[in-house]
Amino acid sequence: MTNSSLQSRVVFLLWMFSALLLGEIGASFLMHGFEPVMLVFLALGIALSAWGQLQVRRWLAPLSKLNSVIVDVAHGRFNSRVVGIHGQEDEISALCWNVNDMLDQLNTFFREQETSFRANLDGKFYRQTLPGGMHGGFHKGLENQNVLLEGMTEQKMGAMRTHMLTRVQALNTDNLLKNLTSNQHPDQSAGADCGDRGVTRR
Amino acid sequence: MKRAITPTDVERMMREDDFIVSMTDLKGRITYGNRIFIEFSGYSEDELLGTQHNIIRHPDMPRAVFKLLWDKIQAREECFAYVKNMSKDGGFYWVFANVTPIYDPSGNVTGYLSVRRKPRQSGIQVVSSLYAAMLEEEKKAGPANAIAASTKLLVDVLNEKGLSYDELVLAI
Repeated sequence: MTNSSLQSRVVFLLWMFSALLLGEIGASFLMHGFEPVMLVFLALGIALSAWGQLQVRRWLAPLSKLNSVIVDVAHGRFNSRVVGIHGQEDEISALCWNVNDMLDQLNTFFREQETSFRANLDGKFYRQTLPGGMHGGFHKGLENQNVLLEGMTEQKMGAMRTHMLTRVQALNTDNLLKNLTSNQHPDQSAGADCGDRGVTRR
Repeated sequence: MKRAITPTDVERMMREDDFIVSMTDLKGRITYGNRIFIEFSGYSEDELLGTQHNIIRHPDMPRAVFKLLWDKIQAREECFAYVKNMSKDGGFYWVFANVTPIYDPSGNVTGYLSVRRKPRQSGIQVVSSLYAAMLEEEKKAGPANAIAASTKLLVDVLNEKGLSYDELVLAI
């Protein structure tokens, strides 16, 4: 993991400083004899390294989350976010929040696109995309999709109108043919209208 | 989490090019909130994560609206609603919410995503009076029948206008 190796490299540096301090105190002990104040410096040095180790772990923690979120995006999954950023104002937290903002835009764009197309196919023509809150190309993209949806709606309505007219015409033709037939064969028509009579005749 | 927030008349207005984004798990606990959510709600990310989404519910909101919203998203449908939310300091902000389910790769619902945009002023005016009437119905009906009573009022309004709920909220 990049994160742990970066973290261990910084931690290694910190402990190297502590070891150096220990060496310096040892050298001072050999040259000038024991001085209690040196122990205070040693304790402070070790405490600083230990504290630094914890801090580094905390600062770098979002990086592994960020990595897994970006892996998800690379696989076409837009639902993950980096959480637990704790509102720190350093470069890493700014990076995490910016990635989240980017994913919010991407995720909403794809959802709007899919939902509005599906609604249009279901005949819910009032459900257009909502470009509000979207930025730049995302905003433009959803506005363009609305033009497309309007076109689809018009086409669908046109097709429905044509279909209806065809049905009406077919119904008219059918009736016309029936009327013509009944005009030319009045007996058959009467027979068909009054089944009872037909039976008694036979 | 117990709250004792007194609602105030301080209103925050959403900006045209921003939206509030939040995610919850299936039980309505917040799993993500963007920076705009943190700004408008007044809570820190730590305070929001793991908390029920109703932490920002305003007492002016009728319960039936949330019932409708919950029913729709549980039926895997998207839902729209004009919502008046309450900030940590008691102030309020109106949003136009769109809630959709979140699916895992095998198609199971794992949570819900809410995108809340700047609402239209005309819409706020319509729903303010509608919600006030619904809230009145809920108070009259008592806790047990509150939702049924105010839902009936909403359905009557929709029937009168000849619109579905989504058509109404998208049109106003």
